[in-house]
Amino acid sequence: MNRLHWGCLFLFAAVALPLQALENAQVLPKGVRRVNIKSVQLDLGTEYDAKGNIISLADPLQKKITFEDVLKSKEGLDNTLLRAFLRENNLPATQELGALTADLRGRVRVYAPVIAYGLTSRVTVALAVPYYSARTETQVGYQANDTNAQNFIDILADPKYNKVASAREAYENFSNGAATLSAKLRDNGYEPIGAWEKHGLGDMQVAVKSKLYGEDDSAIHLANLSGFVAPTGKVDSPDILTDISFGDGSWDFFSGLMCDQKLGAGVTLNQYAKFTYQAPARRVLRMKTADESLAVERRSIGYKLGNKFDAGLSIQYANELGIELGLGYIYARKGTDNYDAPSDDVAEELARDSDSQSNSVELKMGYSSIPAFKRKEIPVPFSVGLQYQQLVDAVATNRNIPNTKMLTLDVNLYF
Amino acid sequence: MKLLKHATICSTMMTMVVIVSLLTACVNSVPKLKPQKIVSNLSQPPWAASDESFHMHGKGTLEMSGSLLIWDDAISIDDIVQISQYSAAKRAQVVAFEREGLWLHDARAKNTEKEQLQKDQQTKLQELLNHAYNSAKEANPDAWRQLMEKRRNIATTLIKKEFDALATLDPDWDRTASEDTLHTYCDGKIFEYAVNPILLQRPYKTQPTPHIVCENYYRQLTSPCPETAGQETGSRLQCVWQTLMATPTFTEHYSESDTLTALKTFIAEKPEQFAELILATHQDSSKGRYLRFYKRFGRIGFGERSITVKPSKEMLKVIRLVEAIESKHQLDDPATLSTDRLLFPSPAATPEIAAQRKRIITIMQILAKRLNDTSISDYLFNEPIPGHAHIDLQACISSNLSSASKSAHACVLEHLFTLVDELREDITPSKELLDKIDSLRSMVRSLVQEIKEWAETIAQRELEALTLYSEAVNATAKAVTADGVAKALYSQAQLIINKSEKLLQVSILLTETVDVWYTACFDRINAEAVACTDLEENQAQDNSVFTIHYDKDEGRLDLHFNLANPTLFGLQRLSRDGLDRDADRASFCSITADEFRGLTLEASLYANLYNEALEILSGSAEFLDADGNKVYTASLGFDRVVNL
Repeated sequence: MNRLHWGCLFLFAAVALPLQALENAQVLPKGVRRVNIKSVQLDLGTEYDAKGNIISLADPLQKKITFEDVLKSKEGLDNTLLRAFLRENNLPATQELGALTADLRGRVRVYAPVIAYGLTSRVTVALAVPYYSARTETQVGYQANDTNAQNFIDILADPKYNKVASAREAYENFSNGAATLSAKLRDNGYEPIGAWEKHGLGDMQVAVKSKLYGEDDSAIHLANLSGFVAPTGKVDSPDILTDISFGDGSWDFFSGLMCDQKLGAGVTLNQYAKFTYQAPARRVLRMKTADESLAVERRSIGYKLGNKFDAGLSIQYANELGIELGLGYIYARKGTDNYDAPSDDVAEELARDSDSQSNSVELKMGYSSIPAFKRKEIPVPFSVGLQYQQLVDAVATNRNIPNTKMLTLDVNLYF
Repeated sequence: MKLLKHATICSTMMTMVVIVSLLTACVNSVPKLKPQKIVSNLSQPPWAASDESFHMHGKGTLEMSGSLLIWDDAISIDDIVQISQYSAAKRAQVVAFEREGLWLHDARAKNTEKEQLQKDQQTKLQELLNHAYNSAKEANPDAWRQLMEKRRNIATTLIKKEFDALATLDPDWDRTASEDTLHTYCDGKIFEYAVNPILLQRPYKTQPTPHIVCENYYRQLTSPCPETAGQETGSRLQCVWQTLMATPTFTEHYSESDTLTALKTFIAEKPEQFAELILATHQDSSKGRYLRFYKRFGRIGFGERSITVKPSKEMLKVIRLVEAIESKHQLDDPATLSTDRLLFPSPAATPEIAAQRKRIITIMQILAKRLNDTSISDYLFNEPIPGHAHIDLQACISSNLSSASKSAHACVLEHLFTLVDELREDITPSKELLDKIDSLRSMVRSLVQEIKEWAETIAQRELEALTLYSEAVNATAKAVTADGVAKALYSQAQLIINKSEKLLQVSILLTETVDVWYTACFDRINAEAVACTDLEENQAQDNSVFTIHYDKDEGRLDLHFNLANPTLFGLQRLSRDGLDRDADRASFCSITADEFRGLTLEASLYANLYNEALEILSGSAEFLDADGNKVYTASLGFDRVVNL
């Protein structure tokens, strides 16, 4: 069984800092502080697979049970004896005995306070401490292949073989594959499949935005954003199949450029590009292989996540009334992970489909009191924005990424 | 103003926190899942033993045979498939074998009925013939003498044919049938007759002779027996042996021997016991053959009906006879006996005597080979008629089922049919009597033909069943004994289950190389192992070595062996030598006793009914070490012993 594909969710920690398409190259004035609270909510149900198809997040659980799966539970001579039994009775190993069905839904909220401070008139430092609340619910069903499974059971029980006990055991297994799966999970130290909920810190970020070019009245502004991500968020548990990680377990170092070009009439074109290096780390993982993903040992191994590259483009509009609108596009890509596993099979399986690529569009609408504050019409400068982000099938193929629609409430207070 | 600004900032922050907190609280609700169902229409197979047609709950004794196979971990899938297919074929053959046995049982019963009917009709025929011959002997002595002369001529012709046959094996044989040669022949014939149980058991009204052409010769040797000597087995045997002991062949070599004296005394004083001794010798011999045959096919059994084996060395009967006599009287050391020494204990005085002896031995050997189908002349001209009260048809037909037609041709019965023709030609009784005799002869002949055909069919099917079973057994054994298939095979395992309402007693023997059946008992009412109270001599009980547990719901019999001393069960290295020669009894073990020592053998056997006919107990077996780790994987299975 493949692990659920939502390791990328910790990306949402990134929303704690202004790295998305609708940000800009502006920095805080010297001595000005900003408290920003982002509240991001997303629902989970589907994902893009390695070929760009949208599949259910529960797809790895929706598995056909074949004789191959039965054979995996047998080792050595027992495996040979079973293979011989199948061959003698013309039962192909790929023959289906039943199918697991499943549905998995999740909801994640990231509550990300960001504190920024204008260190100089051209340098702003920021600290983001994301806080995750996540919950998933999973339900597993089973549809027996009555013809094939009954045939297998009947042959076992036939006096020719006189394996009535095995036949009755097969009946139990193939009548309720979900229970069999649960038993297998239990036997191998996994948490039961069902509801899962967790709250906790995500990976904290420290960033420095430095304006490289442009004054207040310049048409073009260029800034560098660099920083690091500390592995303070919990990683996914090797014993829970349906949990969500709040961090990737490694130190990340990023740097990027962003450029604002004022086009007049309150319209600004923003572009940015960013590279993130993910440092090697170590954690406990299941040593799964292509043949067996559950009945495998846990082991602490070293790993190096693939580096990331993000780029974006947006058009933003702001007027003297404080109305803010924006439309942006984001491209994100992550390289393949590398695991220092005890065998090539395990390393290959752990790294399988770990690269990802996505494109998404963002819409923003909001209000900023800064123009009014500047006119001394309001005592406190603040802004409130609502952003909507969705993956789109355009430009590049989305793959190995949760198919989410993200709604962000962004509140800023300057003082 | 500044205070107002700070108050506004604080209130705004509080508002933000409240808004965000409210939003966070919503995370507990997750989009609704699509319900998932468990759908299955599979049916669970019942425990086979819950079928009352075969349940360990019953009473009685179940004798089973089977095998213990310890798999080689390196076995290939192809080998397993082959073994499985062969094993299934063998088991199917066992079922067919048993069904064939039932058919044969019925067929034999039908034939027995026909034999009785035929016997009744034959008795009537004999009585009519007796009446006709007795009347003719008294009414017309001249015709009677002519008849006897005619018989003698026919016999002379027949014996010349026999001599011709002997001459093909002995180039020195005198084809002219000189008097010496004839006398040598007659010596052999009387010897043969003296130990022939079929001839000995035939009742005669008058003294029989081994051969009519020898009659004058025998009368020269000793005085004729009384007419009534043929009526009693003992007295007839006494006469025959008196004649035998008077022959030069016998007297030349036993005249000075204590054996001869003892033999004469024994025959003179206890003729009945002597007759019993001879018959018993043959019966013992027959039983010995039967046992050897049974041992080879002992797994399937043959009940009371043994397959008749044509004797290969009939001379051994003679040896055994004398051995028995000498053993009873402690006259000589049996170990020093041999065929030549029995007949000729002293060295030949001249080359001529040596040559004569060689001829006699040749004659004896040839006659011995043909004992079951002995000289036609014996049957035809042994002068049982008139007054012959009974002919043992069974001896004619069942004595050699594998060549029933030949046996029937040589049968005494043919003599009766021949006599009818003789009667018609030479004695000419009344037409009314002759018609009755003809009618009876037709009826008897027809019945005999039917019986013969049935016997042939029975023999053929019996042989086919044995052949098919043997082929199936050999094919399985060959597959299992191939290299790389099994680490050990014990193909002669036996299990005896004695069932009562309260107790289940199980005795097991994995190999015939050990003598002791380990036995354990299980209290069916309280479901616990208990001590057995009724053990036979070759059974042993030790709960620290062998215990059983029975699950009545599952029909599962668990066997637990503690292999502290594995040799108790024969679990030790056994050579593969000889597997090719005796594949069906293949047993070998490449695991040493030391490697078995300290392990336990746990087997769970499930009762089932194969092809709705054959009770089986089979399942997996594991050899476990002290920590419960599996060391060897085995299969243990038993089938009920079936009979043909």
